Amino acid sequence: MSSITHEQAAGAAPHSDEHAHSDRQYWIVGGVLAALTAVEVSTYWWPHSLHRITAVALIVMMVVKFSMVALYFMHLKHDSKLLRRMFVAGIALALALFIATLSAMVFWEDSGTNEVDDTPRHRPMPPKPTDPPVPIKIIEHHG
Amino acid sequence: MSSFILLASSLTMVFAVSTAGRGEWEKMRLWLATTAGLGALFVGGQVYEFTTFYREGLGYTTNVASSAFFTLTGFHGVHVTIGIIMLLTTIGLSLSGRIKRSNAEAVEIVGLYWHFVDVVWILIFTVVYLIP
Repeated sequence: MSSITHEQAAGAAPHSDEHAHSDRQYWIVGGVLAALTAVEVSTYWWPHSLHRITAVALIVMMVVKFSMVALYFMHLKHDSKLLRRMFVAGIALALALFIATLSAMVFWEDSGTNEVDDTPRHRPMPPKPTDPPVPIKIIEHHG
Repeated sequence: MSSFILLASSLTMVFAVSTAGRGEWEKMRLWLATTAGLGALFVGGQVYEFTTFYREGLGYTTNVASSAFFTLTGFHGVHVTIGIIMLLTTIGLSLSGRIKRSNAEAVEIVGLYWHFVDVVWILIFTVVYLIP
């Protein structure tokens, strides 16, 4: 995550060609990000019948945009393996938490629908407090 | 529109870091000020959006979705505001001559914070606003 090198920090003049190259790369990345955002916004007008494809396309574009900002703007591409792994570990943890939370909200059962089913599930209910307790059958072992 | 503004601010931020690496302090301050301006525009848009929703009857406690929406986007807005304060502080430090080549990585650290705010918005924008 360090675009300012130690040589630069020490005062050595870097090559202007390198800077021209990296600046051009930043403009290209910025252009791609803007184009992807325009496509993302355009999905608002895509037919509703394609909502599953739209959702997948949006997630793919989101991942591409995220990666481009992290790799080029945050300079993760030219960073040490350790920092890259730390960044990926953070994302993995956040993703796991996100999936676990969605699962808790019955994500898997209602996947693909626009409405969340809030009706109570058919679970075995505990006996009413007024009901007499069920007698415990004691099994005696002989021998 | 907010997404384009925040992405543009990330681009101006990398140029601020790039110019700081070359010791071009005047240009760096200009890029930092542009980034802060774009950030302020983003926060202004968010305040306008929140106000409109509230006037139309969508408050924080209206339903679960509105609570999630205001919490997610509100916290992000707070992070952007903190980022603007960091950018303005960096400009101030540079004007007083306290940012030199030896500690130019301070600009990069502010840049990393700003880009992180941007990547979080990329997630929020898709999950909250776009996925049907």
